[in-house]
Amino acid sequence: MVEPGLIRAAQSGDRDALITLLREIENHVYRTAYYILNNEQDAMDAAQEALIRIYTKIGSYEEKAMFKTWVQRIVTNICIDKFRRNKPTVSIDEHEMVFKEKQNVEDEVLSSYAAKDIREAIDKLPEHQRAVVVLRYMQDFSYNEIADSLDLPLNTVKSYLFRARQQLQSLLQDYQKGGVRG
Amino acid sequence: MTCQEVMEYMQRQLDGDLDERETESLMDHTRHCPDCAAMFERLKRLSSELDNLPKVAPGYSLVDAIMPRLEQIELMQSAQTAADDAIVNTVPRRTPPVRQQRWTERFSFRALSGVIAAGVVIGLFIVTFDSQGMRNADEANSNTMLFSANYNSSGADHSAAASSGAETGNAADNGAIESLSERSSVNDQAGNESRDGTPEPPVSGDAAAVSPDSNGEPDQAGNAAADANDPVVKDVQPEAAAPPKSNQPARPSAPASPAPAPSSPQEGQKDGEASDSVTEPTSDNTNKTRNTNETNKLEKQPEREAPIPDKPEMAADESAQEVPEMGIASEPEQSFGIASIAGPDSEVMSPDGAYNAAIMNNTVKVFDAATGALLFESRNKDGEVVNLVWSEDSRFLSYEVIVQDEAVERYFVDINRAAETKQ
Repeated sequence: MVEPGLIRAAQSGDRDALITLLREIENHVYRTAYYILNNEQDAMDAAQEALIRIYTKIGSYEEKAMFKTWVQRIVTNICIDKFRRNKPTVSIDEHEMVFKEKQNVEDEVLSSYAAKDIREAIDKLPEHQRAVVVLRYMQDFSYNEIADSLDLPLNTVKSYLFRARQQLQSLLQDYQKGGVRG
Repeated sequence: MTCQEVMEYMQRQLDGDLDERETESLMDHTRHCPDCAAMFERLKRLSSELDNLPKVAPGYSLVDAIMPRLEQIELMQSAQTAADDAIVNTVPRRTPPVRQQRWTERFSFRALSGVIAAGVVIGLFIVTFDSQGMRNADEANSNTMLFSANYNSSGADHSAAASSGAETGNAADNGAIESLSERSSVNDQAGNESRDGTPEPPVSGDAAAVSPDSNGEPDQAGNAAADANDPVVKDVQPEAAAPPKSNQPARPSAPASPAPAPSSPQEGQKDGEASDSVTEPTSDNTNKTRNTNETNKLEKQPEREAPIPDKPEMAADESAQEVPEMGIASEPEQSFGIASIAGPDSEVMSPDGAYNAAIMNNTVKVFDAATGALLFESRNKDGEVVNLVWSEDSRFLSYEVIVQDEAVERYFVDINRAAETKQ
């Protein structure tokens, strides 16, 4: 939780406060980017872009919104834009990766979902469901906070989250079955 | 409770969104429904896996990584601020389009006024040719000069009317110098015609040629229009009032601009006749050169304060149509250049009123305001001189020269030492 005093200082033009603020949130920003984009380099780029945007737009933050949802809104927007731009090229690689992944799974005969499987599964979700899941689990956001961050109605957030979990569950079940069978 | 409903309960349970009673009914259902129980297990497992996903962190500090870019942003922002300040301080340099536009506007006004003046001159000439014959030659000449400025501007106006307004501004900028030579030829012509006894436009043209020498000190010339104390101008004013009347130009259009300038043209008209009679062909040439200086000097002036002669403006509308017949407005470029003379406004008086600084022909000159003596003259600059600014104690004068590529050189003039330094 970022201290409100620090935010105010940053907003009033205290550059050191602003840098401190960015340091406090950089991991959160990166984590969201990492799980939405499922790629370390893209996540670095997106997170840096988000931090720069926060740096330049800090003056436009209003206290009626929560700072953390404001930050996450910025980073998810950047990620979703990036994701849309990358999508056509990614899809081919993705298939190959999934294929390799399955081989690995079969070799390892896992008893629980591998973190990698989960990431692969998340990567198969539509962008908004993915963002909802990431905010729910990586940022521990409530329904309302997710709704604020993504600018979505509460019910939409819920239905995205529920559908996402159901789909993840079934994807992972398939992986596991494959592993068990192999 | 259907399995579908239970599914939502299960989901909400994962998010801690169920109350006790709802949890109870969910448990109740899963105890009797193996499918839902299995699903619930899988979901719980998924959820805990998601919770346990590694809290990844970047391999290095992102803030450190972007620090150079943040500093760049900072620099750009401060540069932006500085630039804004600069714009405020150096309006003339920074806003050429605006200036040009204003130029254009002024131009047409001035030009119109010139047209009127010319018309009035002609009228006066016709009426008073004999009686006015010889007046004080000096006065006549200086007035003539002023008149000529307006006369020329009338030509500009004419062409401006013909072409588009914007072009006028440009042409005025560029054409000033070429026009000089052309003008002189015109003057010659005018002189000839007037000698033939044609009391029409040529006369004024001739007067223009003569005028410069009458002006002895350039400083005076520059000020003449604006300086109400100048005897010449004083003399002029009554007459100035008169001509408009006869021309019935009493339109209320006149913006709040200084009257002196307009008055001089009209005076010029009157005296133009006088000077005309006095003028001799030989004087023409000697004057031309001086005239060049004057022209340039005056040409610059519009950029500064631009007092727009109001009376001419008023009359301009009407007389504009007369111009062609009068035959005064001949070649556009020529008239452009000359027209630029019309706005005496680049002179900047020092805060204590002791000096006048003026831009002439890409040089800066400083005159003693009381005596009109030339105290300092800069070297001819390789570009347009702008932004004359006096220091508060009136001891220093700064100005800028726009050389090629929009580069700006800044100079300081120490008046006491009569020396300038480049910054």
